Amino acid sequence: MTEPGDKQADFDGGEALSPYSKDYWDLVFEQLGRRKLFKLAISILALIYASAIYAPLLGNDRPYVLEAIDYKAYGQAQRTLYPVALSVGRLVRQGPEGYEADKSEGAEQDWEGALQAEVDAAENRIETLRSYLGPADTELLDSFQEKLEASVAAAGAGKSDEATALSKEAKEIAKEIRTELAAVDPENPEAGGHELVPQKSYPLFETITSSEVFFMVLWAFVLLWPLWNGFWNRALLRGDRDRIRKARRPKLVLVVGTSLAASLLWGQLVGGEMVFEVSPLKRGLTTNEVVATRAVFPPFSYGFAETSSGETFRAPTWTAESEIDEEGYYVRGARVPEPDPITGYKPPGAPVEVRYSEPPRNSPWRHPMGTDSVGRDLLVRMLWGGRVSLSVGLVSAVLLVFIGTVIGALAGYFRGWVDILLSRLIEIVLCFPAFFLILMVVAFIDPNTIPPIIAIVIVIACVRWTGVARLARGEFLRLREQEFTLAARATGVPALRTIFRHVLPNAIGPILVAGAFSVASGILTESALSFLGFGVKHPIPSWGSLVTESRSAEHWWIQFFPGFAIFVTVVCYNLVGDAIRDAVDPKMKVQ
Amino acid sequence: MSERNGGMKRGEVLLEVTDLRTHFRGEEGVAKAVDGVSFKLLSGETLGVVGESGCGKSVTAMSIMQLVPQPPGFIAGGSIRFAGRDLLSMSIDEFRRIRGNEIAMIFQEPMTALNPVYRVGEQIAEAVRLHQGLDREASRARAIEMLDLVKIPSPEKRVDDYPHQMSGGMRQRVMIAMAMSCGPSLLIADEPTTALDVTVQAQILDLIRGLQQETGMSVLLITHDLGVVAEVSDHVAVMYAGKVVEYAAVADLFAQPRHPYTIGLLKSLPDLAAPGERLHTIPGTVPSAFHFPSGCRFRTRCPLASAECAEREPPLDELPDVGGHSVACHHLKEAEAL
Amino acid sequence: MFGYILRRLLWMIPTMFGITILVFTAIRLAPGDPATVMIGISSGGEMKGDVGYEERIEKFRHENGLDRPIWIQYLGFLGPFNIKPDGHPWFGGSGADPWGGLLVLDLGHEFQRKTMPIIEELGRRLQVTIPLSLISTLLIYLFALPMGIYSAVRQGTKLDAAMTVILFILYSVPTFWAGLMLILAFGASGLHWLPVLGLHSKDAADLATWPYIWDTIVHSILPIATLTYGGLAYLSRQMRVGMIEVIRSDYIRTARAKGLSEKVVVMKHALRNSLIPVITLFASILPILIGGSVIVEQVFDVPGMGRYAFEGLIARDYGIIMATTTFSAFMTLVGILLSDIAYAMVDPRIKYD
Repeated sequence: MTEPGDKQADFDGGEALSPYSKDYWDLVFEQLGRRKLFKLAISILALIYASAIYAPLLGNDRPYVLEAIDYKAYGQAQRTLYPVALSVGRLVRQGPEGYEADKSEGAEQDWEGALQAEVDAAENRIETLRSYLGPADTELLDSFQEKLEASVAAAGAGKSDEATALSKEAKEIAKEIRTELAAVDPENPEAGGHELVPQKSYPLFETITSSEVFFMVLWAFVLLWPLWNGFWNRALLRGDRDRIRKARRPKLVLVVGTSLAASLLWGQLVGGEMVFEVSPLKRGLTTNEVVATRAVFPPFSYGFAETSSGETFRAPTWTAESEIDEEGYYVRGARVPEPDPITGYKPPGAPVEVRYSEPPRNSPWRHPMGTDSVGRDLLVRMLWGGRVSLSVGLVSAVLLVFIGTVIGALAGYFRGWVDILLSRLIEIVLCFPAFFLILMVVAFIDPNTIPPIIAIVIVIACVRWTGVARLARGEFLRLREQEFTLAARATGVPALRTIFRHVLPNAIGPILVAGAFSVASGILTESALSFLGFGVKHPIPSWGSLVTESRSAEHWWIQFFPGFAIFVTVVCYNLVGDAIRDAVDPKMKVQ
Repeated sequence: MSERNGGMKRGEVLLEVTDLRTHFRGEEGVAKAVDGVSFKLLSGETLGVVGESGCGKSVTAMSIMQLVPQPPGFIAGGSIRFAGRDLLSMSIDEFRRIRGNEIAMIFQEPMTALNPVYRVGEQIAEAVRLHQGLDREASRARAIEMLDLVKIPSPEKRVDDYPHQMSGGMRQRVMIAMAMSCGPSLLIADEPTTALDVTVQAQILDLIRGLQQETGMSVLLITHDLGVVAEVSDHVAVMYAGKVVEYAAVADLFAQPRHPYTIGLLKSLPDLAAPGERLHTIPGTVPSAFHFPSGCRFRTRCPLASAECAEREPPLDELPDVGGHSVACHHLKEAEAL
Repeated sequence: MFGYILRRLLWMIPTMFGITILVFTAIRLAPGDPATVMIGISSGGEMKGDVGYEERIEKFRHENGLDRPIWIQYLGFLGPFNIKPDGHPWFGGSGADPWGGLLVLDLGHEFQRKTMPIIEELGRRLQVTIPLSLISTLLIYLFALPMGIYSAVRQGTKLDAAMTVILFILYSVPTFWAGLMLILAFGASGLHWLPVLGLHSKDAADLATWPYIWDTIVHSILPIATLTYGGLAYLSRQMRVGMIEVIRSDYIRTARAKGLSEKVVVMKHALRNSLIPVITLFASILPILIGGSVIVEQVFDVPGMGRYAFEGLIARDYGIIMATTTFSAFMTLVGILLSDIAYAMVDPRIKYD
């Protein structure tokens, strides 16, 4: 038999001491830790959220890192330097007065501005040329730059003759550049030319914003939680439960602080901006205008807006019905084209374009979830679409729990006319079918004045807070009469402080449960709204709107996969809610 | 009503519990809430079972009535004989004829023990109809009779009340009425007065005492209150950690307690004759039913504990010098000095 | 009791007022100019720079009274007098009907089909939605109660565990997805057991009475199933939880101590107590059905009120939207009232005077 006070290793690396030194949250976490379903659900949710947070890193048409020679850009820079030099020359020759006279109606720039613009253009091209040519061939470039700058300086100082002369020289050099500095044609290497040096760039990371970085770092901490938390508890704190409890706040600070710092750092160093257009890089790589020595693409190298005309409504490529031959015809199934019985005419097929970095035409990994009406890959769209659905669910739940708790707490604690007023308010809002009301309001929001996603979150929160309010009110009514509240009031603790520091931590159990279920219902509502067409607008995908791409029974994958994703997420949240409900049950057994 | 004692005369053994073991399966193992409890209850007498919370006294009572919730709980051994019949080997249908009929039970919380959606009279009449086969009118009349028996004023009006229209004390009377309605020979009362005010307590105890004298039934009274025990019991069984540690006639127990635990209990009672004295406490707390100490279970809190106490559990033996007084302790001699 | 019902019914009137005001303002308060939204839709999406765009917006707003103060607009909706576009109320000389508004049950005319009174169309649609909702509610209670009771009594057995899991899964399935999957499974591309669109086959009007009824029934199976499964899962979970809690309570222990058989204990003593919370849930099931009907009717192409509301939203037709919302709120209030009455009947602790 074990004596009281025996130490046993606990689920998170800490050790269980005698029952009397556990606080409320220790008990709750312990109960939760025992339930396998809860752990499973939380893990699945963590992965789903990870797929949404890391979506840009998973499904993107830009590579992480690219070492390549952009022949097209080089060629353009090389050839168009001369026209720029010409413009500079003209401006310099005209001088400010001549420019004003010559200016077209409505042109806003003045002479200096125009000159500066041309100089900037020249600088850009020189940059490009420099970076590709490497240190060896920079003579021409250097002299060009020298002459140009001198010319501009002279023109600025009013010495127009000198400036004109200098600019002429610059023009000559530019001509030379045009002829001499041609690059090696990769398909015809013997024809001669300069060897270009591949440039290293990180196109994908340039599209990631600092707020995305915040969540990515934060989520890395969350995903690795068992590891670093267990390590911290075991190694650093040696399993001392009291120290573990005190370490809760530092851990939180570490996680949030690091994420914040990383995000700010990113903003300073990289300052990425989200892009919605398809990247020209992939196209360039496919047509060999850009030749890469090293290109690392994400696992699913499609953009969420990247279309493919040969693969519209293509079934998941691991099914038999999805096979397409070289000419773009389906091999089996309902879509095999039949030649017209009379004329024998067979409509031309649309060949499938397998772009750079994509899996082969009939590889099962090519489009694991099929494509939509314009050939966009569904998996990538689901990754990105998850961001909308998941964040709307979570944020609206947080908001509505906040509103509901505050109102319910005030009603339950103060009672009297405050309670009567707030209860009437709750009843009035409850008179509506919630979804109906949400639908009404969302339908009338002008997408130009407020982004629909924010509107949806606010509307859901403003309609659904009543459930939590009732719960909170009930809890506060009950707890108000308990001794610890009376003690707090008797010792003169001001009302608001009593509510938030004393009563609320005890009431929070059922509220958390309601919160978990609210996320599930928020996700369901958002997807239903999107399904009906009132959610986020194009081109941003959302799980609900993905389903509406086709109602035809032939295109089962469009209807199945997004709905399945919603289903799994909702199941997990319901499991979490159930688990929390059991864990905070006042009939908890203390052994 | 005295013929209803199963034909027993006063002084014969009505209920005999031998080595009863009721265990509960939990996440941490098996909780041996009742672990070898034996006692006898004579016809017409009151046996008080007393002990701290968690000592197993309620579970004992529930085991007799077979009301222990079966998933976590199960009767692991022992026997319960009532009026010569073995209760544990009966089928549940057979037992149900005894339950509520010959053995009745009242519970601790009168506020929640009655069904809130049915009238009080109906709840009493139900038992009568079931066990005695009376029709609606007759059973209703009997219900009124019972309410009168438990001294509820205007019983013919009260019989149609709902429980929420009654106070705690009145509800407990209704419970007693319900229990008495079929004339049981054994009434089990599980902490019947704990949830009531002191004045009401006295009334209820009086009522039980009076009914017992009128009908000659036996009473098994479960309580943690030594004062109640002293008032109403004929014999007392002191329980600790699932076992009976001392059994004696009530006067004997209070005059000459032998077990260190009993001695400690009695010492902890505040003494009005000596105000200002420090209250005595028994150090430590009741051990968890999952982890009872080996050997004598009281040894972790006993001032007399020795190595022998850890090895061997002391049996409940009758004292040689005093009749009808049993104690389970290795160190009786030293205990006298306490 | 009658006094209570009467008072509640009277109380419903100001509540309905409050609700109509609330909805009216909520829609008006939505950020954005309703006129641009409505014009944008009805004329195929015009760009701001188009010639005459501004004038058309102004004309539209004037015609529909959007340029008047909001309280006059509300009065126009409420009635009982019609308010002409130029602001003069009642008794216009052009022969137009002086009476109008909600109080005389005039809900205006449709925006797209200007001669169709909304209330007429609404009535037609309700003939579809109300029977579907009623049947759905009936089925929900019919199945959920026994399932919940069985599950609670047989707690821990394999069947209970299986049922709990299945119901849990059902509870988490999004409505529109369920509808779509049912169509895929049972429709032409799947098992081809059931028709999937609309409430009648194309040539239904030619059928005789009984085949017509049968046709309707067969068409209704999938929509009703989609409407029902969610509420069924929810209610039976609630019933199970409530029943388990009731069975754990003291008075059940007392009932057993009286020697009653387990069947009587459960069916007589436990059941009535656990029905109480479940009955009050009726008030929340009805609004869910109304909201769900929008989706279900859209998925299955059923011409009911939910679909009507949806069409109204697409067309940004204020009249239809106000009408459907008002009616839904009304139905919800009725549901709440019925639920409260039933609650009072079952629980003797509740006394309404």
